[in-house]
Amino acid sequence: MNSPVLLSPSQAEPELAKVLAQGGCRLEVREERAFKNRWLHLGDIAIAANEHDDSALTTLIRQGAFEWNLPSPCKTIDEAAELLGIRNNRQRIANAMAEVASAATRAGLIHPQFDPAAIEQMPFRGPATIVVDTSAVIQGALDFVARFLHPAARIKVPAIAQMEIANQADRFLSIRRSRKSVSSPSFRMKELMAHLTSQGGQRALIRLELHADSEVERTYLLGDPLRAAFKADADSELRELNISSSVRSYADRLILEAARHHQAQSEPGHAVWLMTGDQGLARMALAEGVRPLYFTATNAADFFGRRLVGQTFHPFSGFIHRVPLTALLWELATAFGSARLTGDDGAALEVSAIGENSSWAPYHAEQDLLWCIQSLPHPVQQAELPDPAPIPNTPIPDPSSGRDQPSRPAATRRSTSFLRFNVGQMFKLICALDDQQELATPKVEEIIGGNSNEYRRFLQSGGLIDVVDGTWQARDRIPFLSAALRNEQVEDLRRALLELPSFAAFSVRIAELAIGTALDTTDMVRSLSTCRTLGEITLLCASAFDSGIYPTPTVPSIEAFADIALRRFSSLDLEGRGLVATGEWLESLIRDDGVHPETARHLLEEASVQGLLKRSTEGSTTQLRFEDRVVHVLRTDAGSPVVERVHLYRGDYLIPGKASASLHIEGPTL
Amino acid sequence: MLGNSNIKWTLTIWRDFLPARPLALPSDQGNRVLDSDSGLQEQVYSWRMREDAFAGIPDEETRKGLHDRLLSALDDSKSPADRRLGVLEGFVQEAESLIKAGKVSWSPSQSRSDEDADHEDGSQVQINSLLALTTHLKWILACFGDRPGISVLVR
Repeated sequence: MNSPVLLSPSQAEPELAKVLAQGGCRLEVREERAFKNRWLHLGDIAIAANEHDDSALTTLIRQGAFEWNLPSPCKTIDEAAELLGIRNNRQRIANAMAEVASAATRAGLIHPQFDPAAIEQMPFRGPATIVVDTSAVIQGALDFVARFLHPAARIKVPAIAQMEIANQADRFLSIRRSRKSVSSPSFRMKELMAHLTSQGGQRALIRLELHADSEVERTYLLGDPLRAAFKADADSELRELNISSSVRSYADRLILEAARHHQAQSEPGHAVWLMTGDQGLARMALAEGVRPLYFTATNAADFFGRRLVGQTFHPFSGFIHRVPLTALLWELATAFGSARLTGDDGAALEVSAIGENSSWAPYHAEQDLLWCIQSLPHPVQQAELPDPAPIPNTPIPDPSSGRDQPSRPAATRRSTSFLRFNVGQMFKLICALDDQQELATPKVEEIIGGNSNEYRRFLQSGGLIDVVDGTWQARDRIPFLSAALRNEQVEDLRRALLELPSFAAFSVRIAELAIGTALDTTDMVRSLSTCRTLGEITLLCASAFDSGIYPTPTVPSIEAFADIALRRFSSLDLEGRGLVATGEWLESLIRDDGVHPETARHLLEEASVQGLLKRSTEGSTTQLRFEDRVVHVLRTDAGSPVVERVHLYRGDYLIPGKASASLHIEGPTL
Repeated sequence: MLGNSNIKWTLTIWRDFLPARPLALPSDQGNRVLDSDSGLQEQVYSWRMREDAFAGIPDEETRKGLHDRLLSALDDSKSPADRRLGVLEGFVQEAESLIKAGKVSWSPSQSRSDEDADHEDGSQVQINSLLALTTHLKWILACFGDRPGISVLVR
């Protein structure tokens, strides 16, 4: 890959693995005009691998198993000053470098520093709406809410915040088009700042709109005041008000008004927060009865010199939160224009979001595509590159086998007796095989985005494919399997999969379990998630109560289900409030009655239609502490099968369109 | 050697609680009145560590020393005045110096998160739990650091 190609983050992972083949690499960014096509060194990346085969590295890149060793603030500011041609005004450069911290915050490597009074309220126990200002979008606080507080917290982006970022982008493009800017250091500085803030902010908004599992609401658009804020109005009365000259405070006013407007419409008890990193706006909000969700952006001095890791902890649940290396690379490439990783052997991957010859179209944003250039290893460069900070490979105790025994390297610890793959990618591959009938291995790996060995072994074990000279040929059962997937025919899918020995063995193990008995998974650590996903999709089993996997063979008649549903509801409604968390009810059905959530969902609807019970939902607060209670189901999207994770404690699973998390069931009125 | 029971622990942040009005706590000896002088504490943040933070430290003595610096120094046998954020900051600094010196390695993850279910195509997750922990604790210190009357409890 020597000419630029469009790649999404997941498509770039195998290419990145080649760069990281030696274990570490150098991270650099470039603003092509401000830095005059030179690169700014932003530290070294080291990957947590003892053996460097491409497949393992691709997985580690996706899992965020990397360390980012940042250079000191002084060194970075000196280097940036040299690139910009600025000899004084280090504070301005420090401000620009703080935007690197904002990019890391948006990617999720670090969090904004919140007001302790706000942290005390998190995660929100009651319904809450967060109205964000421009600083929250650019400095990563909006991403924090979407990542860790949604869906209990609803997000509102006032139109004025969108407009401010659009204005910044327009300013950046104006500077970029200006010919004189390249020669003047101050213009180059201005271009860098405008690039960093506007493109980073736009990416945050587009990412939330198109990719993140979050709902962003727009507030009421006040036409005339907005226009006056950004464009001189010919009306003499408005001109006398001098609205246009105080754009900043006027924009703040409109954001506060958006929060007040929402507060006035909200039910009592529904908290409305105004999220801002602007002290003035926070004080104004306090004085006018709106609670500020104030945060402080991380400055360059506190950020550079640190060592960051791609696997962090969820700030409230403690579960591992992963930031793929590509997420960081994409964020930096958008903020600066280009980002590059260069391996010890000179192999490099350059990612660019903007450039003289780079086109852009909406589908780039929709699929998160950026222009990538891969450079092959260059032995001559090897000696010139500094050593990256290595991750020590000292043998460490394996907690599962006792601390006195040193563990083996990760690659040799893997068992090959179990198959493990991404079920969604496997389904995609089956449909592609049905469409094409023949696929070369590189094409297969492009479809699945990684190594194809375990996919091949799984399909071959069931006689679904032949592999001849590196070409995968579909056999006669593939069309049946593909049709089952594309039509969401779960019974057909189960029947087809039972012809595969590993799945058949798993289904026997599940069938041998009595209802209410969790599967003993101690011998299937590696294949567990694959088996669980396939089992849940085919309705053989479901996970409940802290990851126990229970058999779900029960498919009662509608009448019998109505009885089970009412009985289970009564047993859970101990306080007689008439409300039970939807997830609690579904989990009880899994464990105590052996009813799969998909079965329960279907039969609940049928029983309601037939008047055998009445069901309704109430309350809008999802119980965040149960956000990990999910079940995998088969759905189709534009005719292609997708594996969807359904959150049992979110009300919209049982009754689509209703976010209410509490369920009420009662028998028919006689 | 550290037992597995020490792997998971909960960190809670407390602040001085000054009741607006006196409170009564009934007991066998009659009501005990609690007011602003009673040294009451209110929990304001709770976080569960699901990994073995010290699994990546190969040296037994170093591991135990760091473990004690966190779990013993901040346990509930100490008064809130002895469990201020400064103690946590000391732990973070020591952990960072170990990480910087290359004495901490990656180790197999002890927990499976919600996200793990989505990432089925890899080996057992490797994690630098001490580095991830210090990143998290630095965030807690940054958020609560300036607030008066804050104490930390680890159990």
